[in-house]
Amino acid sequence: MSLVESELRSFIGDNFFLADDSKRLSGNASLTRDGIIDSVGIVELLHFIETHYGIEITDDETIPENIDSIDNIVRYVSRKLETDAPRREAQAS
Amino acid sequence: MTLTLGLSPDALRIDAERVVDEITTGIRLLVRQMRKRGVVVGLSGGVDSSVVAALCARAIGSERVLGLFMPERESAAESLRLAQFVAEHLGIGTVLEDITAILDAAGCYERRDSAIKQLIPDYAPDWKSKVALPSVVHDDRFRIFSVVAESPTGERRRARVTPVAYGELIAAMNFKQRTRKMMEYYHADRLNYAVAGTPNRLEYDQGFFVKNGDGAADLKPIAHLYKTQVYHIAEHLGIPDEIRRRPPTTDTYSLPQTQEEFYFSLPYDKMDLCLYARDNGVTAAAAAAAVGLSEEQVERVFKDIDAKRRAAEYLHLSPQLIADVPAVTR
Repeated sequence: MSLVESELRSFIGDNFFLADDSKRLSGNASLTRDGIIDSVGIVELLHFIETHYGIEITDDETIPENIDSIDNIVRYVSRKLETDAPRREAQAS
Repeated sequence: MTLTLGLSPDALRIDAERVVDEITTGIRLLVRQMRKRGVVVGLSGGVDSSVVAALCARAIGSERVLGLFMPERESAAESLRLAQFVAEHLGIGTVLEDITAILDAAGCYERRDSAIKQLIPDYAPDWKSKVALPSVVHDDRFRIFSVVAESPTGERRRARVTPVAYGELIAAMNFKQRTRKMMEYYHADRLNYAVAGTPNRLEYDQGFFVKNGDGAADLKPIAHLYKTQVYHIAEHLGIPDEIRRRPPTTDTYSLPQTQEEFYFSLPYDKMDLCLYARDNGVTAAAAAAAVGLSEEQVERVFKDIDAKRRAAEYLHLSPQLIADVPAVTR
């Protein structure tokens, strides 16, 4: 399990009352359709990803392909960290 | 059962006289069962509360219906004018309760402003604001609330909500609906009346109400009627044109806001058809033509209906007990 996946599972477990079940949550389960999180949960999840990983999620990126399962979020966050890293380094220097 | 036949726009057609008879009979029965002497209705100047007041007046007599006007400093002036107009038309008694001072004392406006400032730092109390959702039909984006604020000079800012700001904003704004309900029950207690709620089926089913705010009532006479049907009944009951033509509004935020941008995905007539289709096993493909959308767009609306229904389960829950109390009938 990657660090991002572990952190995500921990966040979902702590915040959506699934502390034990989160480990068993399938990586491709739909967080919204399976009733794990609702629209407020989406807001919390986006905020966690943005603040914890220091990335900005644009409105166009708030789609199920990026956000609706643990597998999708891990892929999305990893991609954003890669693409945003040069920009962040440029801003820092 | 899945219907593969197309959905007719006439699917929601009703026999208005028969429906009015059923509802007025029901109101008389319920008021009698509750041993109340009349009904209080909060009048917003919209079609739903106007129809509920008219049905109550027809059921138990206009002299037994009290219409309440409950504006606050951010209400549209038109709401009070139209509410007064319909009350006069129905010949019911009325009381005006300006709830601004209560909201001020509870910190409604100040807490709201503080929540918005977290998202839009140069926001100031003399700005106007609202919350808005993106359309559900155009893409697959999650429908996440944004705050839209407008300065006195017309400069607009928009920011997606954060969890803390969103919670504080909604909690502050819910003071409005809860204060109104408190006033309705004040007058109901004083007169030994029941309180009539005014949700239509879309609002009731999809959770477009504040728990223990406008969601609270002793009876909800039109909760089973689609909004389209409420308009049919309004016409049948002779509710004035001006009220029937007014676009549905929340009248909760200081910037003008339609129900569509706050909560529902589509104009009410299309939303009604989608909800009807969802509940009657009509596929998205079969519903698309009648709704005037593509199959894919109707699928998105169906998903949104399901998501709102899940969220509304909590809103509909009465207080839950750990163990039964058999002596109390529930």
